[in-house]
Order: sequence, then structure tokens, then C-alpha cells
Amino acid sequence: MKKTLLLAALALGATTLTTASAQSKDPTVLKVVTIEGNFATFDPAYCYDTACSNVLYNVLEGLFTYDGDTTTIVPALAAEVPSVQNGGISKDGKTYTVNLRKGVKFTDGTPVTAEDVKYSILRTLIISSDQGAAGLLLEPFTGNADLLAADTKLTFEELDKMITVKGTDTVVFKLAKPFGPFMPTMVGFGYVFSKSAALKAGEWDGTGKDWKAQINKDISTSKYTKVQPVGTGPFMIERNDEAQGTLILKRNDSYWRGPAKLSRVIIEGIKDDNTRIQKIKTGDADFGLDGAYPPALLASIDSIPGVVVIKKPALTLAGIFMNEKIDGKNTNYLGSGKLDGNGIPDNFFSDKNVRKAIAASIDYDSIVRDLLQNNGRQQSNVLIAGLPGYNENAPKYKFDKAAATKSFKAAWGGKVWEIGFKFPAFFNTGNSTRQKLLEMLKKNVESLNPKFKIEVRELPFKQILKEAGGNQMVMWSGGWSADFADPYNFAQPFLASDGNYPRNMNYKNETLDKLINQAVSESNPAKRELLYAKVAKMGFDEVPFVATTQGLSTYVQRDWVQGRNFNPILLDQFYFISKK
Amino acid sequence: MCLRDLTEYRLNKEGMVLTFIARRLLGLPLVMFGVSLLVFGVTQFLSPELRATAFIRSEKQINQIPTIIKEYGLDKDIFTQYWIWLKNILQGQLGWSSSSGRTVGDAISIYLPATVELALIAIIPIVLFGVIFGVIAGINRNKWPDQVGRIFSIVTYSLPTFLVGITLLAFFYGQLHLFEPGRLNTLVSLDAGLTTVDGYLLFPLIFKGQWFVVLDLLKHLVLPVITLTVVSSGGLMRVVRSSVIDQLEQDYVRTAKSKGLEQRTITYKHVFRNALIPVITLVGTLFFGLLNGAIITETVFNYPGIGSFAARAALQLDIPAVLGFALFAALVIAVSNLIVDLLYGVVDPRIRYD
Repeated sequence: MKKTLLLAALALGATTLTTASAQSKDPTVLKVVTIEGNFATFDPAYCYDTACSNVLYNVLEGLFTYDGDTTTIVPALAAEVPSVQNGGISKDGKTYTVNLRKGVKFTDGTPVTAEDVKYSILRTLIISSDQGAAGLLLEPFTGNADLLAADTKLTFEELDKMITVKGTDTVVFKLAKPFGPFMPTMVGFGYVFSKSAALKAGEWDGTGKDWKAQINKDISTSKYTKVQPVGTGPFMIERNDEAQGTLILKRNDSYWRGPAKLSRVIIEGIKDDNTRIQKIKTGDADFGLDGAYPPALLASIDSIPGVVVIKKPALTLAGIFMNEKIDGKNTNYLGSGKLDGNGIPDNFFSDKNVRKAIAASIDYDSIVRDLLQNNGRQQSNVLIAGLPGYNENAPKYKFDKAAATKSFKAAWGGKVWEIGFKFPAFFNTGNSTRQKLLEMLKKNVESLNPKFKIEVRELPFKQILKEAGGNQMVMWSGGWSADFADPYNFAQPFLASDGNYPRNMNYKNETLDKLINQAVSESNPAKRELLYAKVAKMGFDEVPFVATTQGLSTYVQRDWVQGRNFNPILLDQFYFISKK
Repeated sequence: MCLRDLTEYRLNKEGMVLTFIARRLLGLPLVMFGVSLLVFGVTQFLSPELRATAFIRSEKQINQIPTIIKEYGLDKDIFTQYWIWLKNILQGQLGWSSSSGRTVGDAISIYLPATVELALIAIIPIVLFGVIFGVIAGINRNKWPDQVGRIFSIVTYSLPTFLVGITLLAFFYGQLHLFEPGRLNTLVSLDAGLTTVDGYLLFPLIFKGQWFVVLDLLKHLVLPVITLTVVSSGGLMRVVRSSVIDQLEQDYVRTAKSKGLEQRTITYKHVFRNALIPVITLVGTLFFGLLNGAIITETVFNYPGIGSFAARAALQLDIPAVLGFALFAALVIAVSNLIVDLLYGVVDPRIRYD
């Protein structure tokens, strides 16, 4: 990492010698750089990462979208956003009736029908790929996020009835329970594509015949691994130079909102930081996708003539996670396995006082100022800025050595303070921010009592995932980015017993589970906000994990780029962009 | 030796060469089997959970790991897993590469051509530089050309590839806007009506007479080739120099001198040819090393070769791709050794194949 930064600094040094700003080349062609230009798939049933999502959001559309850079839902292929008032949502909040916008056609010239919408969504539900995002879509329909398996008790008829069509222009969604974030989920993952084109391509026929063979079928069998489904978006994939890692999108001239100002978008994957810097500096790149440039280099990049760095709040939350029942088999993480100063017992973090002490030992101001260089802000709970119900004045953890001492003294009947402990805290290789954060925590905790020992260790990211999934991790630094703009997408994974982190931390709180379930089922937005405020407050008080910071997305671009939206979910929407 | 003896000798030698080639080719599957066992065995040190993470793209999918392990049989014993993999290999299926989103065979076939073109172009200046300056240094032993050459070779041999690469990139591309990274300018390729820029480009484009695209392709090769020449020719130069000095001290050189042969004739007709023998091994190793991917050079210049594919596969724990690449590398090395051994015989008739 240090080597990379040094070399990048060298490259920047050379860069700043040039005083003349480069000129915009090719005014209707947008050239975009990113790190990874290889796309795992263009199949909506399998796409879950940022790279493929960024493409799909530009070549396909759903029923709804977000308005510009806000998270206000507006219609896309739907004629209007359903609500209880306009009759689109039933009073019990379980039925959504959506009328389609008239006259919209796929890029192959065929009209968009309700049957296409049904097929597109149902296909993702049925494929239920463990590599995709089907769980998020399944939850409103089946009541839980469990993926379908070959031995599912659900029948095709039951699934088929969850989405029905009325004529050619109306589609009805029947949910298992009222689900507040249904529409945000549909914005994120409810891509619509042509059923007839899919059938022609050799995809699932949409009937109950052999439907079980579709469940979690291998990604290599998808017809959309290399080509996109036929959609309605403002762009289409023109060419995918797989080896070069370059994707070319061309304008859809018959787009229903009118053709885009750009004729082409070229997305180029460049792995080396220095090469990406040179590209933007010479003007051969118009901008970098979110995260294309490392935060440590942003200040220097900002000094390149004609290059601007824009920062916007990201829907992300970083935190420190503590496992309350550690599986110590096959690792040496527990040391002696006892509270004897040379290790910890497997349930060390089940005492809330320990967790509170950790929360009070983190210097949040330093993290924001020094580690993130102000590219983030402190957040102490799951209701982060940008989500409905966000309260800027909600309580935050404070770096307070006296409070930390008090909590450590109260932990485990005073034994922790008296005897001390030793445990490892993990960060993923290459993530210097997480490393320094844990080193700061170690320094602060160890300064309280010489008997306290924390070892900061690094592991490859996938090793951390694997060990967290196996409940072997002790303490680790991690983070989450939103799938859709709703508090549920943070409350559930961070605080619900069946959420990602609580499962890995062996954390269970029935009251929180109940509150989260109540909130997700509540159709009244004001009431939902109140419920999520309660969830956030309880999450803050119980400290199952220590929320640290919400990040900022950083967008590097040339000054001639205009109209760029900074939507935290839909990423870059090329339709609105033009070049001076 | 009478004519009959000479013919017999030649026939014997040809027979021996053929037997040698056949023996080496027959041994090839065995070598590859050994390599596959070794690499497969090493991957088994990684737990099934860790290998399963290759299939997930986000930590949000962490709880899918048990399903993935079951789905891909990652928890089966090593022999069963190896047998399944071997059966697929024998049917020509190298498996699915999750890091490149295609079969391993496809991945190798789309990444290899760019590397082949880079290797073919790069080996020319590497050999020219290494041999010419090595010979000059050798015949001018301890004189100023040798001293300069020695410093040059030691400096370039010690330079890290990434440092040479990014310095060239920052200066030529960043400052002078020359020699864009990548393999081909996308707009140029679109103007030329190319439907893909994957696969072999240089020779098909020359064949079609699309000279402006050829020129663009060559421009993209300039900096990677200079980088590889700088970091690779120094070592070759040292070997050539030592070999030339070694040959100059041989008895036959003294004999030739005493017979009144010109120094130029001695150097270029006798010394040069004999000094080439050890050089062949090094050039062969360099060339086939380039075929296995110049990982750092390819990364710095965003050049889509097989080295960048292999590096990404390893980083992402893409086991089928790592195994496939290991087999490919073993094949390249085995074949290259065979070719080098055969070339020895061409350069030095004294070498026997029995």
C-alpha cells in the first residue's frame, strides 16, 4: 500500500509539472475509468456487485427509480408511484397494483407489457442464485430472505400467484406481509427485460415446467453472462472487450425519454492507481466511477488543473464487530481461553460493559480528521444520513477514557480490570484505514490498564469473511453499503438476529427483532420513522457493535463533465451527462 | 569419414533426435499430471469455506458460504475432488473461472494473444540489446565500453519493473501525451469497425492492411516493450559478455590467431557462434517467461495479457483458473525446454541426443 502511494505520489509529482489543462476530446463520447473492468455477469438474477449494477442501471430499467441524486421514488416504467391514496397500495399494505407507462418499447422495438415485468421479477425469484440479490426480492414475497432451494416447499403456482397481470398494462404484486421498503427494493433490483427476447435466447420459458431446474442454476448456464437482456434503458451494450476490460455502451436512440446527449460511454477497467491518474490528467478519461481513486490521493488529484473532486454522503456504515460466542476451534484467537490475562473466554463480549468500554475507547474525531481526512462523519447507529428519519442530534458514542475505565471495571464482576485480557482484532489486508483505526483502539485500550492487550492482525478479506461466517472471528473492523435507501437495509443486517452481522456475532435481541419487524411492516411513513428511531436508540444503548463512521463517496472528474448525478444507490446515470 | 559413414551418421542423428522428441513428448503428460497434483494439493490447504468465498462478490453474501460449499462439492475429500477435476480436464473442460466470468479455457484463449504479441515484439530489442552490448563488452574486456556496459547492466538488472514502468508512463504519457496505456484505442477500434479487440490483432490487421490500427497497436506496445527491454536485457548482456570472454580464452581462438585469421573473423565467425550456446537457454527462458505473462508490466500499462489474468485469479482465490494457468505454464515451460534443447543441437553439432 505504502509502495503504491509512493509511486502514485511520484506520478502525481510529474503530473503537476504540467500547467496547461487538457482539452475535452470527443464531446459526445464519455470515457470512464474504474478499477475492475471485468463484469461477472449482466444477468439481473446474478448481478449483485457495483460493477455490473452500474451497467444494468443504464441499460435496463425497473418500474420505479430515484429522482436525480435524491432517494425520492419516481415512476420509470410505471405510470405512477402506487400509494394508498391513489389505490395502488391496498389498505393492508400487502397488494401493490402498478399500471405501466404507455408506449414504452424495448430496444428491439417490442412493447413493454405486464407479462415482461412479471417474467423478469419471477425469474430472479426462482433462480434464487446464491451469488445474486434474490434474497432481497424474496423477502417481501415469501416473508423471509431465505433463498429457494431444490427442496423448497413452495410450489410454482404459489410463486406464480405472487405476481399477476391484468391485461397488458397492469401488474399486481401480492406480498406475504406489508413491507415498507418494497418499492426501494424494486428500484435496486426490479430490472425489467423482454420475455420474448429471453425465450429466444434460450432462457427459462416462464412456466412451471422444469422450474425447479432453474433454482440456483450455475451462473455459467445463464444466457446473460456476456450479453445484456433486451431492456428499455437509455444505453445498450455495444461491445464488451473482455480481455482489455473495456465495455462500450451506445445510445438507445429510441429511448422513451428522448435520446441521451452522449452517443457512447466507454468504461475502462484499469487496475493500477497511477495509470488511472494519468488517464484523468491527460483527459483520456472524463471521470472515475465512485471509488476509482484512493482517498489518500484525492487531495493531490484535486490539484491537477481541470480535474475536480466531488464528495457526497454515501449510504455506508463502518463499524467494529464483537463476537459474543466465539468458536475457538482451529484458531489460537482465544489464547488461554480464560480470563487470566493471556486470552479471553469465548463469551467475553457478551458482557455489555466490555462492549461499552470498547465504544468509549475509540477516538472518533481522529478517525474522521486523520484517517478519513474528513471524507466521512461519525455515526453511532443504523439510521444514517440520507435515510428517512435520520436525526443529526441522535446520541453518539464519545471517546472518553474515564467512561471506558468505568465500564471495564464493571465488566465480568471486576475481573476484567483486575486480571486483564488479550485478544486479536482483525482488519482486511490492504485496508490501511481499518488497520489504523484498530491500532488507535489498541493504543487507547492498552493505555487504560497495562494488563490489557489487543493484537492488531491482518487477514485477507475473504479469510475474514470465512471466519466471521463460521463465528470464529473475535473482533473485526468491517462495513456495509446500502442495497436500497431504506433504514431496514441497515437495521436488519446490523441488529436483527437473522441479519448478517448479528449471525456472525451470535447476537440476539428479541425486543429489537420485534421492533424491526414492526417497522418493516408499517405502511405509515411517519410511524415507520418513529419505530426506526427506537431501533436505532436501542441499537446504540445495547452496543452489539460499535458504529464508527458513515463514508463519503468521492467522484473524480474533469471540469467539462456536466449533469452528473450522485445517487447513492443508482450510481452513475449516464443519461443526464453531457460534456462542454 | 567416407560418404557412407556420413550418411549413416546423419540418419543415426536424425533417428536420435526423433527418439529424443518422442521421449520428451511422451513425458509431457506425466509432467503435467505431476504439476496438477502439486497445485491441486496446495489449494487443498485452503479450507472449503475459503475456496467458497471465490464465488461471492460481497460480504453481504457471507451466509451463502455453506450452500456454495455443497453446490460445488468443496467439502468432498481431496481424491474425489481431484478425480472430478481430472475427469473434466480429460474431457477438455478446465472449469469455470469466477474471476473472469468465463471458462478457464476461454479465459486463457482471450488473454494469451495479447501476451504472445507483446512477447514476440519485446524479445527482439531484448536480444539485440543484450547480445550486441554483451559482445561489445566481452571483446573490450576491462576497457571503457565494458565498464559502461557493466554499470548499465547492473543498474537495469536491479531496477524494479514497476519503477521503470510508471516512470516511463508518467513522462511519456502523463507529460507528453504519447503512448497511451492499454492495447488499442477504443475509438480507433470502433472507427476500424472491429467487432472485438480480444484475440490476435497484429498479424490479422497487417494482413487486412488496416495500417492506422496497426500503428495504434504498435504505439501501445512502445512503453511495455521499452520497460521489458530495460529490465531484461541487462541480465542477458552479462551472460553474453561472460560467454564471449570465456570463448576468447579458448585454445581454438589462439590457434586461429596464430594461423593469422583476422580478429573480426575470429570474433564473429567462431567466438560469436560458440558464445551463443548458453545465451540460447537464457533467451528461451526469457521468451517463454514472457509468454507466461509479464504481470507487473501488463498491470502498469493496463495491457490485457495472461499475466494480469493469472494475478487476478490468484488474488480472488479462483482455484479453477489458478489450476488451469498452472497447467498452461507447465506446458509452456516443458515445450520451451524441449525447443531450447533442440536448438542446442542446431548451434552445436557436438551435442548428442542419446
